[in-house]
Amino acid sequence: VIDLGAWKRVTLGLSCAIFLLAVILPIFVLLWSSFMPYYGVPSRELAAKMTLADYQYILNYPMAATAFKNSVYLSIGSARLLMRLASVIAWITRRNQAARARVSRQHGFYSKCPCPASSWG
Amino acid sequence: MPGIVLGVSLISIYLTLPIRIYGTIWVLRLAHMTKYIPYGIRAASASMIQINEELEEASLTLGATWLQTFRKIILPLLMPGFIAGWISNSIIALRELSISIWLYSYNSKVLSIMAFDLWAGGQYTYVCALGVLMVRLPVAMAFTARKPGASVGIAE
Repeated sequence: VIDLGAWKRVTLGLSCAIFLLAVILPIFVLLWSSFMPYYGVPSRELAAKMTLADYQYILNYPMAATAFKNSVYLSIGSARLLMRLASVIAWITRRNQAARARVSRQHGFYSKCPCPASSWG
Repeated sequence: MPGIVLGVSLISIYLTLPIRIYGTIWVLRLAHMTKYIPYGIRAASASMIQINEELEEASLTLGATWLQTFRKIILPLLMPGFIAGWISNSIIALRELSISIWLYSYNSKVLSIMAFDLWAGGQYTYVCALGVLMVRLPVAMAFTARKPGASVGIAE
């Protein structure tokens, strides 16, 4: 830990500014535009035209249900399959001594092939 | 590996090999698994080194097969890392575009492709609405991981 002394407030202000620019403002504009009938700079006149039409359009979009189903299936389903595979690979790479009796040297090598960096650590 | 490289190589492989999965959701699944396996191994091996080898040896000396040992001893002990890897992989796979854009077909469209289509059609406000709806999913997953997910595992 570095003691910043008098610079504490300055660095706090800087990190708050970065957080504002990188997270708060983009999310605000995303939310803002999602309620607007057309794309525009946030202003009071535009705020009067707030509408839910965009959400209605998205929910009634012909491919929306399929796309949602596919996305959830892909992300959750394949991540589960992936973790099953990864835990076996992690066992082989971590327990090299025990694995050598069962799995030949070549198999150990192939298991590291897709990502050498993750099996070195 | 950049997603574009992986996507193009998967196209050329599954168009030449006589395995008919090109254009189905299975090729997308395979691509996601190939791309994100390093993250999965990272999460799994981090918890694997916390498990003492003697627990497995005890199970093996009592006559269990390796598969039984893996399912009954290692996987439950690995669960916290397994769940963490599962959820973090789900979240990054949800917004994956660079592979999906090469491998999707009409029936295997995903949300990121839909957002890209709408954006290419110039319907920016619709993309924003879809974005807001899409953001809720990973946020919900992250909260699940924090609250009930923290108590998963064999330690009480």
